[in-house]
Amino acid sequence: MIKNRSLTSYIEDDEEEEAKKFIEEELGFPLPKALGKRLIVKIYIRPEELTTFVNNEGKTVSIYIPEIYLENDKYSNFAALVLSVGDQCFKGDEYKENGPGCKVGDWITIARNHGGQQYFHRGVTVQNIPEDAIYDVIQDPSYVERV
Amino acid sequence: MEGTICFDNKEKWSFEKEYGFNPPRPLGARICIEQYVKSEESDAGIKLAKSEMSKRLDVADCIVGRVVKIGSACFKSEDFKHWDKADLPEVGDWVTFKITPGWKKYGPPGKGVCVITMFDDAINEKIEDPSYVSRDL
Repeated sequence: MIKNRSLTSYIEDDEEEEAKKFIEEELGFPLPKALGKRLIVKIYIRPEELTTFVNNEGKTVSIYIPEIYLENDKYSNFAALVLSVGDQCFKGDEYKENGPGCKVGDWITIARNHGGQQYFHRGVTVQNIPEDAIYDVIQDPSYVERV
Repeated sequence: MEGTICFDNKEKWSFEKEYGFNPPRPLGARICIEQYVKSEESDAGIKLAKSEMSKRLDVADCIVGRVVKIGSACFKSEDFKHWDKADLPEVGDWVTFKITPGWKKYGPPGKGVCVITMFDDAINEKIEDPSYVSRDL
């Protein structure tokens, strides 16, 4: 029986360690550690390759997003991957029924102007955000687009 | 999205059933609302084409929407102590709300739906029919 102590997280309880290991392997370094009521999240940057198709001549063609657009993602995207959750996060009354709002490995949307600080951690664009900067947990970061 | 009226939850509506993918899951006292899009067809059956700019303005001006998902701490604060329980919105209800920034398109490519996540205190009231309401500038 799969258990999840959170109503909003997509990561089941028994997948938490696996998710951490998987992200560490993908990034190639141990995850940073958030303190108190803060979280460290990795800003979602779209994959460089947009689409691949075979043209009339039978050649495989790939379309890439220009680098400038991907650079812009760092400063405008509000979908992010949770890398670390502080030990005091989600302990308030607000989360009594919900359980932890999100876990390491969840994709979330964040308020970009809510006390977060953005920096590079080993070349990866991350933000250190307070727990109340999280709007919601989402299924897929590519689903989200600013209107 | 010009859906059925869900006043008094006569019909159980769910985002998953309607669109085939999971909605955002708001945290704490936040609530996720889907934009109400007015019909592009007039009463006489004439289709009125809208420009992209006009559609964008509709989003920015939107004050009516359908409740998609409710955070676990919604409507539990002191502010709602005196509200009648029957007046509290549930998933599928049409509501009016304060103008709030932060609209996003959510969904797989080509199937995106305009949604917004806001605090529960931005909700004004539950309404019977979204077409009854429009913004008076």
